[in-house]
Amino acid sequence: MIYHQVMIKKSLLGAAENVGRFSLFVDRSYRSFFPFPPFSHMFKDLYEISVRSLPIIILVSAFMGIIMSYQLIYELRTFGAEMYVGGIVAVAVCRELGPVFAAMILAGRLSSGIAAEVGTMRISEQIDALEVMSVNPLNYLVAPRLLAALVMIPMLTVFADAIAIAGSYLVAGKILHIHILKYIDNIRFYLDSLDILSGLIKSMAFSQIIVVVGSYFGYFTQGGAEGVGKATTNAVVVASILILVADYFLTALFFG
Amino acid sequence: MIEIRNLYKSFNGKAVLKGVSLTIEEGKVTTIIGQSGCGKSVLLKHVVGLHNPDEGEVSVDGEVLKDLDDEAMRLCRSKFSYLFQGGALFDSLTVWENVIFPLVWEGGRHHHYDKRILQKKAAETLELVGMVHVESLKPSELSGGMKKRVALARAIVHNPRYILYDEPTTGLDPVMSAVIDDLILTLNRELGLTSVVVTHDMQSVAHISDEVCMLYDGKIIFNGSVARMKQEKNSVLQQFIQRENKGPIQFGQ
Repeated sequence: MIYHQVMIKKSLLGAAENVGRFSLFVDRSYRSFFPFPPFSHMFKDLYEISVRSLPIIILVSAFMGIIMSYQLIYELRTFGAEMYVGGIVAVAVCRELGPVFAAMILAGRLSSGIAAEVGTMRISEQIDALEVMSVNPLNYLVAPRLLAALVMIPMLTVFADAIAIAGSYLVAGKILHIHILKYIDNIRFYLDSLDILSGLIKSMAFSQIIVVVGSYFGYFTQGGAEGVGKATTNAVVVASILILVADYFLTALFFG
Repeated sequence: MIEIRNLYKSFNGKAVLKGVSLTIEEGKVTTIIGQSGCGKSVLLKHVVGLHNPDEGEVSVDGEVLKDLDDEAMRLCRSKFSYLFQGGALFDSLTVWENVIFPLVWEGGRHHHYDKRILQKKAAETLELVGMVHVESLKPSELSGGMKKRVALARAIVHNPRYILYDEPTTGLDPVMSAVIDDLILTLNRELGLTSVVVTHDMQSVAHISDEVCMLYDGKIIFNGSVARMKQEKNSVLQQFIQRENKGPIQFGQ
């Protein structure tokens, strides 16, 4: 009994320590924005986040739209409402599925990549080298990525939304023989600016979670290659959880 | 001048430094010797504030590191260069970009210089450490010894006042070790740089040191010149410098 109490207390203290350390890291990361990172330094991150992530985003979004369309047409037929599939898909994708799916994919791709790169830099003393050269490691490693993600991830999300809607039309057009203009008209009727705006704001928040969580786990990596592996796994898991938690609060804020 | 006063440091309850006091005088080459894992690198990292002591303090030119704010620490660190054990070259940059990094990011801020001037400076500095035609390679394309030489070029490119070398000749062939030793001496004698060298290489110690100190069991057990070191009766020191496997230093200690 005492053993369990001690273990619970230890776990709670450990969790509190991690939350405190993470909060301090976030605070220090945003304070490190000045002096502003040079654009040339951000270019690699912009490229990595956008161009390199695009194929997987296209693939997943297209399938998301296609599958949703199939499912919805099947269900909506019961009520004779299958013609509304375009509007329903567009609202669901722009408000929720587009930003969340894109963020989840990017958490897997970017959070893990950042954690592995920063973690390797930590264990090979490259971060120490930056500090000795009076370079703030957060300004050099985290700030450019935060900015690049803030610009690129909402753009990728818009792209993901468009691809999902286009994928959905492929199915709707084939099964229901809806003309594309009618399909777009249906989307315009149901989709309003708040749906798109809320999705964009969500993707901005998710972009910061993806970068900051990956950087955090990389920055505090310990214990060689095994430590880098753990940091990478933890970064993806924690970023995914935080994205869903943030999604809940933001949804409640916009539509609650 | 660097003064280390009564330094204590533990990691996960294991005491590494147990009251180390040492004065590193300006313009001299001070070498720190001791067994692997005895805390030499930890001591060196305290000098540039990469580790904070549990007790005690380090002062550089009269400024106590633990009392400095971020800006003052940045200024203090700009006096230093540090040659890390594995080189710590930035993987994402080429060799020449690594070498000129301290110039481009001088004072923690990014500066824009003419690329050709920087490349020329990098090539000149690399030549000093015996590296030619490697400017456009990435660190992953270099051998361990080459990485160390590039790291040394990076350490000297911005003319620091203090250079801290963490095992500068480990992994190098004897000829290159001699070249690096000569370079340490040249920087010291001609430019008046203060050098602190952590090493196991006793040949190198005898060649370059003005002062030698030995770290054992978390404490400095000897501090003096090379001549004094050879005459010293301390059995730990004698076992170490004469490379004997029997004596007070036990295998695995």
